[in-house]
Amino acid sequence: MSPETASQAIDFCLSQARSQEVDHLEIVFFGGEPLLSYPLLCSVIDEFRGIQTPFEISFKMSTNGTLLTEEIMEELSRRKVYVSISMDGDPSVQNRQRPDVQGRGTAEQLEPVMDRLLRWNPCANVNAVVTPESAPVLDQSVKWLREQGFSYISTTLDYSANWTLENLKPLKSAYERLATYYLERTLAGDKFYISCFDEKIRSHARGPLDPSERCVLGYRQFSIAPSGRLYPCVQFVGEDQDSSFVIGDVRTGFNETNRNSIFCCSEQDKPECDGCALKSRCSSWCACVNWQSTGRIDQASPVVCEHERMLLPIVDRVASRLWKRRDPLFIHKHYNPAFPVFSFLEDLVLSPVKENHS
Amino acid sequence: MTRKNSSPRVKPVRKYNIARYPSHEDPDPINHPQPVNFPFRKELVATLATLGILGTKASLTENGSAKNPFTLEQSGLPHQPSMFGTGQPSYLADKKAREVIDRVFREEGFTLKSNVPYQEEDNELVLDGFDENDHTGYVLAHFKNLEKDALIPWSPVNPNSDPIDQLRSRLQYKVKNEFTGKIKEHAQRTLELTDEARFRKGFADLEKEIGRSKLSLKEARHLATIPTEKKEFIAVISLFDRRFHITRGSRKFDAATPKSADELKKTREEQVGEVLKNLEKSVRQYLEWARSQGL
Repeated sequence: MSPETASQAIDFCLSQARSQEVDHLEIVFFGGEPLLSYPLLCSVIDEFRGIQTPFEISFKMSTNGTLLTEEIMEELSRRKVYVSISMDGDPSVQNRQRPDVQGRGTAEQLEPVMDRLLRWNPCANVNAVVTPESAPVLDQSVKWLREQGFSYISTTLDYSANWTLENLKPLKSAYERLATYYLERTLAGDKFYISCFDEKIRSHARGPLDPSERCVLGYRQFSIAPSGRLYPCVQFVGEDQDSSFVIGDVRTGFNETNRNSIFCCSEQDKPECDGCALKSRCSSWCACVNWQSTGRIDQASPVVCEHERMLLPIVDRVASRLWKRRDPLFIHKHYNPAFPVFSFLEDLVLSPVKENHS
Repeated sequence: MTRKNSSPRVKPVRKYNIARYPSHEDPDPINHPQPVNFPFRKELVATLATLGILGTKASLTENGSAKNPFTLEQSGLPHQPSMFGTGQPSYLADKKAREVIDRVFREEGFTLKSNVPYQEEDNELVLDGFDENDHTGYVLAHFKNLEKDALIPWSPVNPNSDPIDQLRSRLQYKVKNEFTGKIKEHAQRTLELTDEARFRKGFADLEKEIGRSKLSLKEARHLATIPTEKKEFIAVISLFDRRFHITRGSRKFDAATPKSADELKKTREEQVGEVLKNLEKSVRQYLEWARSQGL
């Protein structure tokens, strides 16, 4: 992204936030690898910070970590950027799935980066992408990431991969093993977040996502490509070549016809899901996941469907057992809206105390 | 073709009831059925205590020590009914008690199967409810399911010496009103025996068979003292436990002597309601205790 486009993007975001009278504007830097444009990233943040706004502005960044030096981490922390790292698991998984441009594994390179990131932000999030190749060891990957000190572990299926019933079976076994781990660690009082389990428990404990919690494709959330073109979600940006999902440009504003037609198309009822008891807990509402998997945004993804039918009973059994035992951590984590605050304060007070996660 | 068969597909789930933990539509689990304290870590409590910020350590860490409310001492077993009833308490109907107990287990997240045979060493009985996943359940001690050592009869039946007509009449009554299934079939076969000696032996055998599914004092003691490390929790809930007596002579009852049948019925319902509340409270307390023991 050129500095000019970046500046126009800032103006566009601010004008949108003002016109929508929001309380909070969140800017997320994504890639590729956003640290490749580190100086521009800093100048964008500084420009945002230099403008008086009636709303809060926060910054997040997702990185592969390879360029995350001590100096950069320090500067990002000073600028209050919440850094999330993409790592898929232990060195064998990481090296296979995320080699560098020369094809070399990146696990060794990331070893000090993890320590650095967690030192600056003990609540840093790690994103692990699950592919058919890494699925059989998903439980080991999560355990390994937890042992490195990550408390917030997000796992995401690579929906564009060639998932079959055969390669979903080992994933089921891995989820079952992960369920045992989740149960044991929760009973031991270990506070952590594993998205594939906690989000599904949340969907039952707190009910379906409210529209205010969802991206509301192109309305509540939009993405800006390096060219300045606007997309409804980061997943649609790709190489910025496909104009079918372009909903405007930072220079000219939203193309309301396109934005509205994409949104309405994604919100259509999916007849293939009619009568499904899991509908309110399923991710089939997510247009970008459906698009990645089926090439259409109005069609429920078969992979999502198989995956939800596999995962939900495993998760619900664990949650039911924890409820049966009236586990205080489980109860407060999922039913106490103040849990994140109490938890954060506890971590703040205890931050020098080294935990043993083994 | 193989590829097509192995492709994931959209398949609506018609029925799903695996989530047995509170949903957003249930009462707030932090305060229902009992308040659950925030699980602050011990290190935090210690740190705050050191800093003098925390006055009472216990308020953050402990829910209070749970006790088993269904000990054998509390059970009122062995029980011996009086020969005459004046001034005796009346007892909860076993059906009503079971309804409350089953509901509490269900609300606490357990899935009980009814009439589950239990056998360990030489202890053999039928549990009223048992969750096979969590090895947790209960057996209700009432008039119909106790062996002679737990419910001592004031006029014991003796198959060898009681008049044969009395034995036959007794058995006929039970076949008509009480027995079911295999026991009923066995009793009917016994009634068909015309030879007196064979009938007496058949009667005695039948009693033994009935006794096998009933709760003896020895079995009640066994269940009440299963070591907690076995993680098997089977409550012996006895309707002879004083807490579950419907006491006719209560002050409340005396103070408001009923003046009509309706009033009598209402008072009686209130008393039963109170006893059922006691029972519910005790079952919850039992599960809390079981959890504290590693359930």
